[in-house]
Amino acid sequence: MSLKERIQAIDRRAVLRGMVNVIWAAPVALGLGQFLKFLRFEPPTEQATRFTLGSPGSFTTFPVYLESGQVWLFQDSGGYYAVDAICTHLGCTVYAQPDSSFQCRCHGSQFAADGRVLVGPATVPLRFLQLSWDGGRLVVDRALQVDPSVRLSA
Amino acid sequence: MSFHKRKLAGSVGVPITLIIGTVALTGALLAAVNRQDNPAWSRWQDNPQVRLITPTLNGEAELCLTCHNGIEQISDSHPVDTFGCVVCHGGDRLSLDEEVAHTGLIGSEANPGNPADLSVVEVSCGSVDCHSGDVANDRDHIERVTRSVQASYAGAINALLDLNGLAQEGVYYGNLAVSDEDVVNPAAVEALRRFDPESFDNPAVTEFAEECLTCHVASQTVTDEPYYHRGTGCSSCHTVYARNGLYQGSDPTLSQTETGHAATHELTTAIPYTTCNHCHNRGTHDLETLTFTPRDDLDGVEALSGSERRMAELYTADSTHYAVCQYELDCIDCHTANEVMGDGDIYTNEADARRVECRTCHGTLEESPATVTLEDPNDVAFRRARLNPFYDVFVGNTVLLSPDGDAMGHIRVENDLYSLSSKVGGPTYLIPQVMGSECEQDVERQRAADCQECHTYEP
Repeated sequence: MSLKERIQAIDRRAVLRGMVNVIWAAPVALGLGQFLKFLRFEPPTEQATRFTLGSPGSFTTFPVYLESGQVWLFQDSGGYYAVDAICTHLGCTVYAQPDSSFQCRCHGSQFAADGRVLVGPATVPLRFLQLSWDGGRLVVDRALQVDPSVRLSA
Repeated sequence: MSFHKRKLAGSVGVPITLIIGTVALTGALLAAVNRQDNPAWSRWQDNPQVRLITPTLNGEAELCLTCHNGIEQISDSHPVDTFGCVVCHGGDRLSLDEEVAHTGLIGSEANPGNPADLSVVEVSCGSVDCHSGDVANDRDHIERVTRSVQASYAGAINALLDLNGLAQEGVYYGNLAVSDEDVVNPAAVEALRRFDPESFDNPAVTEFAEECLTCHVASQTVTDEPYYHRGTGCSSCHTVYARNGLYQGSDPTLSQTETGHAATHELTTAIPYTTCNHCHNRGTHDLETLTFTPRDDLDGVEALSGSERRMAELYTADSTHYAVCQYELDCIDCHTANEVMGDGDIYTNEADARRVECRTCHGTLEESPATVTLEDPNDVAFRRARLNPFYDVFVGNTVLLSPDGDAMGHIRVENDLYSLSSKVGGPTYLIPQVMGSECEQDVERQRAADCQECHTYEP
């Protein structure tokens, strides 16, 4: 059958029905697509408190500020310890000084090496946070506060 | 139904209304998908993406920077990562629709974007734990400002009432009703009543209210003329406005051709004379005739630069006398924070609130200026120095003491030399001392004009 004959053989109503089906199919497909997007949406998970800081060998100097956990990581003869880098006044980042004290550049609060407030406006000491090992990597838990004397052995 | 429509519908056995409805539904869905994929906010970014920050101050996520992408950080003391936007500006933190996001903005009626206006400042800058969160007199900035003559406009108001025979013994008025149970300065008063022009039923008061009540930090400027553009409330002084009132920053949503915006979205304590000049030195006011004669000596000033422009803008052409310090320094180098923002007391005129005199820095024939050695690291002088990018002060430094006991950290004393570091980035100025000089100073005459009789600077 030639192409011309084939075309002539197609039922006109069938063509129109096909067109109408396509018209219906469009909103159904669009609606289904949006519904699938809705099903696939993943709401934000609960805020994590444990953050992997990395392998100590990857840090060339101490103390080092680790943005992943928002902590200052120190090393001394007893091992490692982490100090919360979030100022207890209004939440700015504090900076470790050469004498291991801390200074907040936002409002001028100063903290001693053990976290005590030296100069206001802050009134609450800096927190020391729990460190643990995960394989060869250090992990900090921002929800767990420890005594400033606690060290994690190397 | 037309012939063709009837024929089509009949030929497939489907009602024509269903077909039309289906097509309309398709169109609506396509429009919705397009709106979702190309939201209105995407026009503010080259590579559109939702920008979410979670300020450490409150841990509440916000999306404002999705549109206000590139806006200047308000100050180093208010980092956006710590404070975000909503804690000061209000609004709907999670909406990306302009109208919804801006619902509940903290601002004045005239300027919804200014949360520092005195009408709303108690829930923004003056919130608890912010600038009114301390009971100490010098920390409750909002209370200080609302009691200050810059906010109360008490000088002009009470002078007007006095001129028109309306003053009452012991009763004073201001733009805002304020009271003070702990009056420190003998020149201060216990309260100001709110000035209600209508209650006086006097034509002069009515005219004053209509023409003159725009000159205080609680009011919005009413003219679009150059120089007059300024903020209100805290931002009257702590934000810089360009002479033409145009925004010059990087927030794509803010117009750069519409006047009335701060030059940038930044706060400063290094307040230049140009900020004071939005209100001061704008012309001559006369309370007797209730007239204001604007300056007419500023033509061509834009062609000048540096000290020449400063001189032309700062002093009117008929000001022929000024000492060198008045020429080289900025207003805030002498007029202290206590004087300008208020010291917690209520004054009925500016002269009572004034603190620094010529002898504060230059001393007298018999006495050197009062000084103090800063020992307490919590001294307010350190906080002020840290907020200002142009001078430092350290524990152990000896600095000048203002007559009201305020350590002036920008004026250091070393080896009997008094040096002033400009708070606005100007030169360091070695302060000549009267003691040991041939000065014919009369210690009781301390107005600038008294000293200018001899000390007149010739450029």
